[in-house]
Amino acid sequence: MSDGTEPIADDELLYRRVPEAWFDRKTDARPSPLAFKPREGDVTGISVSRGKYKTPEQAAVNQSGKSYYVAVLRAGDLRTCGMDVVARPQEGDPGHAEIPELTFASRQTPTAKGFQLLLAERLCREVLGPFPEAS
Amino acid sequence: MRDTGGALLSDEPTPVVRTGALDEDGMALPDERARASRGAWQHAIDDYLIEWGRHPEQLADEALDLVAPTPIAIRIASDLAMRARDNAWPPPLRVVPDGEGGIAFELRAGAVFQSLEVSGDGVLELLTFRDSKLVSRDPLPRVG
Repeated sequence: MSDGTEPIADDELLYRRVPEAWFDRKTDARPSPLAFKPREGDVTGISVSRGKYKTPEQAAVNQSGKSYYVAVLRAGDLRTCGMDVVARPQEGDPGHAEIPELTFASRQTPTAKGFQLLLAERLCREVLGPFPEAS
Repeated sequence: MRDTGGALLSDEPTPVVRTGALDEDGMALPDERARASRGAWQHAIDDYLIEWGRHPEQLADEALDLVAPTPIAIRIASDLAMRARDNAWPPPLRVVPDGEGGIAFELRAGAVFQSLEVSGDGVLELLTFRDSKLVSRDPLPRVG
């Protein structure tokens, strides 16, 4: 049984939770690069969910009750552009993974800024949601 | 110090990040586009900045470590947007919180992407990217 430690194949899809403020389908098909900006807790990399373990709807689930969009990426696309994605399973979340090039400490470097833009503008395959849908 | 409007991208067929101290009249778009641009900036003011000023808590997200824009960021961003509207600067693609108390106006034309950023403590900066590579990062004077 998989426990989330197996390497992420190039063709595996990844899901990134995107708050509603950073995406508007009426404005643009792509999210803001800020959707990929490291936050204070991103010490070893920004979080994504592995498509092998979660559906997009599951990737959007959170404790706050807010709705989120889900940006879809493909692992191999990131690697082609100089980033990596590594499996970092957590208690109760075997599908947790991280992009190690994007940490809070390095978020303002030119490289990190460029990666954030690349993820939003070129590597994001589509944006799904919002989940849960507004009733 | 370089004029802010003079540094924003244009929507010419070959997008150019303008440099140099162009006067704001020189940056104004032709009439019809100027009207559309003013409308876009007014939309940013009415539907985002004013709303965020009234209800900043809607942008905070403890689960994701996101901090709502600060009052000073909202004020400076609003002043900047009003100046942009009045001078018909190229319209923003979007206006977004940065998650750390600040606000960003994002613009795109072809291979050029720019982010006009107001930090949580009111510092202004213009980041310019070409083909997703950061090519310049310039501090800007406050408006108002």
